[in-house]
Order: sequence, then structure tokens, then C-alpha cells
Amino acid sequence: MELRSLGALAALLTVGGALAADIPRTEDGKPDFSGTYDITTLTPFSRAPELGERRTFTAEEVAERRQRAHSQLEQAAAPLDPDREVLAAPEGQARDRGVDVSGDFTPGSYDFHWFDCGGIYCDFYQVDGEYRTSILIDPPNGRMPPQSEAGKARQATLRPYYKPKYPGEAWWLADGSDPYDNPEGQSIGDRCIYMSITVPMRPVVYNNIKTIVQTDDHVLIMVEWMHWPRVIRLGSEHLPEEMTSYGGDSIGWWEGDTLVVETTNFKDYMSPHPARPDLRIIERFSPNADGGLLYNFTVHDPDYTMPYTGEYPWTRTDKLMYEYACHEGNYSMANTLRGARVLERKWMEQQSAAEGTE
Amino acid sequence: MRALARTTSASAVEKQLQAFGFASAHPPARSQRRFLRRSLLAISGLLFAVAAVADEGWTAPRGPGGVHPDLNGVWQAVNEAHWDIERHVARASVQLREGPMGPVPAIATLRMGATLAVPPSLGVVAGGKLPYRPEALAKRDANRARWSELDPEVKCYLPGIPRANYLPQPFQIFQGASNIEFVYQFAGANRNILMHDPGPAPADSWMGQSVASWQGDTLVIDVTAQNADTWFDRAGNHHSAAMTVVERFTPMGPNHLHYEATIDDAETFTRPWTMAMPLYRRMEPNAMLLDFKCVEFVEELLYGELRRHPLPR
Repeated sequence: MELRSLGALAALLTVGGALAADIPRTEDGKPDFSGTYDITTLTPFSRAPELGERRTFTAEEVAERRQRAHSQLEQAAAPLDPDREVLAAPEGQARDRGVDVSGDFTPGSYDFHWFDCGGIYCDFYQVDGEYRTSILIDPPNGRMPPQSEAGKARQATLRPYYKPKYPGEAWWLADGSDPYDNPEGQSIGDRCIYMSITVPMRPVVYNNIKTIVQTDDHVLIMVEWMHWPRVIRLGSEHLPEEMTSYGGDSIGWWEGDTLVVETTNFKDYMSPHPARPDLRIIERFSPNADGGLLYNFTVHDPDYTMPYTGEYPWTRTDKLMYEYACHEGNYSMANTLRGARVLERKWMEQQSAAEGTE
Repeated sequence: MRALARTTSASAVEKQLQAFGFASAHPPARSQRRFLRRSLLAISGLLFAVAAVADEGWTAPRGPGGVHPDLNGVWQAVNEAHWDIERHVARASVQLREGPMGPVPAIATLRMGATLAVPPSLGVVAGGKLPYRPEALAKRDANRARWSELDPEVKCYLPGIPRANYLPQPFQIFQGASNIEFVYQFAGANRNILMHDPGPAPADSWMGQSVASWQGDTLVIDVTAQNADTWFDRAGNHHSAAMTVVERFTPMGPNHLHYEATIDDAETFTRPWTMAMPLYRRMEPNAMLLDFKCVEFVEELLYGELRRHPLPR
């Protein structure tokens, strides 16, 4: 009770636009972040280059962009016209049609229904009453900083990301690349291990629900996508350096009403390097006026010329998290590899047939 | 508070007695209780390696919110249930085939030798054996004969309930003032424990939907909407999608919980049945969950034959 009185005394202090006394608190007087959040947003991660260092949208700009996004979604969600023009199946080999990595040929991934902004309309968020033009706020242009020399050198050692080049043929046999040789060569998302980035946590196309459980010595952030229980130990020390993981090792502490989390011990993926000993990420969780929280992160990554910082609100929701079981139904992995083997056989047969006619 | 603890332990005792067929219509007097408790301990020693009796004079400390007991911590079962929940003598291997003079390890497990031999157990199931319907028992035997191909644990699939609770890896209960989450080291599996019933789950899932309430110092969790693809153990014991599980977690001392699960699945079993076991606190000062995202560990097993250049198998 005494701590609550102290909390009341601190009522004049404002935190993240909220009066300190207004926010829900735990028995020991800390902000109570426990609950479920939906971080779906229309606000992009990086700012459109033409906006330069403009950090905020006007209300009119937001209305116009919101309208544009929603009508695109409505269009995508509308039933197909039964009298629509039927497109003829393309003739001949993909290579002959000049189809390549431009990506124009892709039919997209899922129906919009499955995207968080498809089934329900999402919106741009505000921070301190302002509509932000990007999640990234530093560098001031809201875009990723340039790669460092070390980062470029490291990237040169990484396995490249392969885009499908010519659908329907084993194009990689011609250029000697190995996009579909092994399961380990597929993306970490296609392998059902994590979605691309673990920390910092970013809004994604779906499964944006987060549940926080807060105790005296732990904060658990249950991440819906790939069912990732992210355990943050409070008042603890980092694990020894060799104990690496894709999600890293997170320890936290309170600075006033802000929960600060430091994550290190990252294991690298899509690379032969076992660890990223220099990668360190600081996240800050602060109470927001609307009962949610403001999530702020700074990434210290020697692959870039400077640290970068972003922030966006986590909004409380009544929605329930649903199980994201990916690996259990990962037919795509087997079919990707199996399909590649079929195309390779076809390619070899065509090669030997061509050699036979010469 | 002490009275509460006694009541809880007494009711846990009665529960166990009922599980063994000692039903009582009226609450027994204290002396009777003591007798029953002793009888139970004697029976437990013989049949059921569980003593569901709270430490004498101990009351569970209250958790966040100050009302319910504190279940926070890293817990783990220390028993043979993950091998085979039924009563059984030791077997040469988790998967067997006929040999010239009796069963020998299957080809799939041969090279694992004694490391994949099944340790003996009096079982965690009340009565020792599962009340299978005949066709379900045949399926269990078929599952066991093809264990390496069929066990979802082998493939790093989400383990389902109750199996997640007694896998040979720790799990952690996160209990805040307003919400509870169970996190399992194996595969990073989790359960969001709902304290309000949202109604039937929209679809079946691997870990199901957990709706909980407190009955005294016991956290009672109703688990519904699990799919039919999880097993109970490495012995091929299985269930259908009709299964419901009622779990009871009761603190019995500073460092152990009593765990009980009643399984109701009329498609697979002739009657509901109960399993019970203690769950122990991991006592290492640095006890914590570590990373066991096993998906990448089974890629060679599941997809190795589909590599462009397959490795010897």
C-alpha cells in the first residue's frame, strides 16, 4: 500500500503522455503491462524517401492514405466478377516469355482474408498525438542507415537470398546456384523456425498478437507468430557467450516506469557464422496514455554505420491468440525440394535429348 | 490458511482414493482421514508412486495478486511417463521386432542400444493400465511397432496436453496477477491459460484451448479442442480429437506440485481415466528455460531424402 501511495505522490510526473497515477500498476508499484496486444498497423517500417526528414503526417494525409489502403483492401476482398475476362494460359517456356526475377508473374501469397489488414481494417498509429510517417525515427530520414564496410564484407560471406527466376524449369542448373538443394538453405520463415527478424519485434502481415505476463522476476512476451515464448529475466545477467539462439538472450530492468530490455547472444541464420557477438539490442517499454504501451528499440549492429531506433505503440486488445503451428503442417518444405528434384530431372532429360540430336 | 491447505490435501487424498475405487459419500473424520492417508501412502508405495499430501503445516505462499498460490517457477517431472504412462517392465528398446528368441530392438533404434531401452515403471495411470477399446488398443500396438515413423515427438511436433507436462525437459509457469502462461522448453510450446471461458475454440489445435479456474489452492484447467495427432508417450498411447482433459495443479510443498489429469475420450477408451504425478521445482540457482527449437534438428530426418545430394541414410 505504501508503494501505491508513493505512486500517487508521483502523479504530477507525466510518462509517455500518461499521468503516472493513471496507469495500471502491479503490487510492487511497477507499471502493469500484463495483457494482450495487437500491433497491426498501416504505418510503414521505413519512411518513403520523398518524405525526407518529415516525421509526421498531417490529418489530411493520413485520411487520404487510409482511404487508399482501405479501398485497395476492399477491392481485394470483393467477390470476383463472374463475367470477367478470362486470361489465356501462357504458352511456351517461361524463359521464352521473358519472365524473370522482376516478380510481376507472382500471384501473391495468400488471400487478403488471412492478412491482419485484410479481414479487419487497420490504421496508422499516433505517438504523442502525431501520426508518424515511419516506425524508424533515427536516422532522421526514417530509413535504415548505410551498411558499414564490415557489414558489406560480412554480407559477401552470406548465402544470398534467391528469388525464383524462371518458373517451371531448373534454371539454377544453368547458373550453378543452389536455391533448393537443401532444407537448411530455405528461409528461416519457410523452415518454420522464426519469421525473418526476431528482435526488435516488428508488425507483420498477420499473427500480430502479443501477450505479456509480468512477475517480480520475469516478463514473458508470448509472440503469436511461430509460437515464440520470449522470456525476459529481470535483475539477471546475460548467459555465457557460447549460449546463442536466434531469439537471443534477454535481460531486463526498470528505469522509473520504463522496462528496459537488453538482448545479446544472437545466433546468425542464413550464414555460416554461428554467432553475432557484436549485435546488441535495447528495447524500452513505457506506459501509454491509452492504457497500452510505447515500444521503442535501438539496434546496435556493427553491420551498419550507426545504431538505428524505432518506436510504435502496442494497443491492448480483447482478441485471443491462436496457435501458430507451422512446422507441423509444413508441406511446402517437402514440396519445394521435391519439385526442384522433378525439374532437375526434366532439365537433365532435355539436355541429353538436345545432345542426342546434335 | 493452514486449514485451507489441510482441506486441499485431504481432498486430494480423497480424489486419489476415488481414483482407486475407494469412493466416499461423506467427508471422513480426521482420524479416518489419517487412516485413509496412511492407507493411501501404503497403496501408493505399491501401485502409484505419488504421495499427494502437502507437507505438514505448510501453506502455499500467495502469488501475484495475493489471492491464489504462487505457481511461478521452472518445473519438471522426474519419472518414466514420457516413455510409457502405463505400468510396464523394462523393454529392450522403444521400438521392437521379433527376434529368434524373443523381441529385439527394431532396425530404426538398434544402434541406440541401452540409451533407447525403456526403463521400467509402475505407471502414472490409476490402475496401471489404460481402458482401451479393442480397436484403439490395436492401434496403440501398431503405433508402438512403428514408433520412429509415427511418434510426433520424434518429428518435433507440438506435444499436446498432458504429454507436454512430463516430457524430460523443464517447463515454466508464468503467473501474473491477471494472467497465466505455461511455456515448455520442448519446441518452445506454450499454453495461454484463459481465466474466462471464451466458448468453444474456433478449430482444433495441437495444444488445445486451456480454460482455468481456481478451486481452493488447485489450478484446474479444462483442455479442449486438441487434434488427434498428439500422443501420450513414446509407447504409442494415443487418443482421438474427442478427448477432453481436466488438469489439476496443486502446490504440495515449497518445491513440488501434485499434477493430475483426467482424460475423457469415449472414442478411444471405455471410461474416463486419471493419471497423477508430482512435478518438481528445478532447484539450480540458475534454473531457466533454454532454447530447444527442435525444428531444425529434424530437417535431415524429415527432408533429407529430398536433398539434391542426399546423405547416406
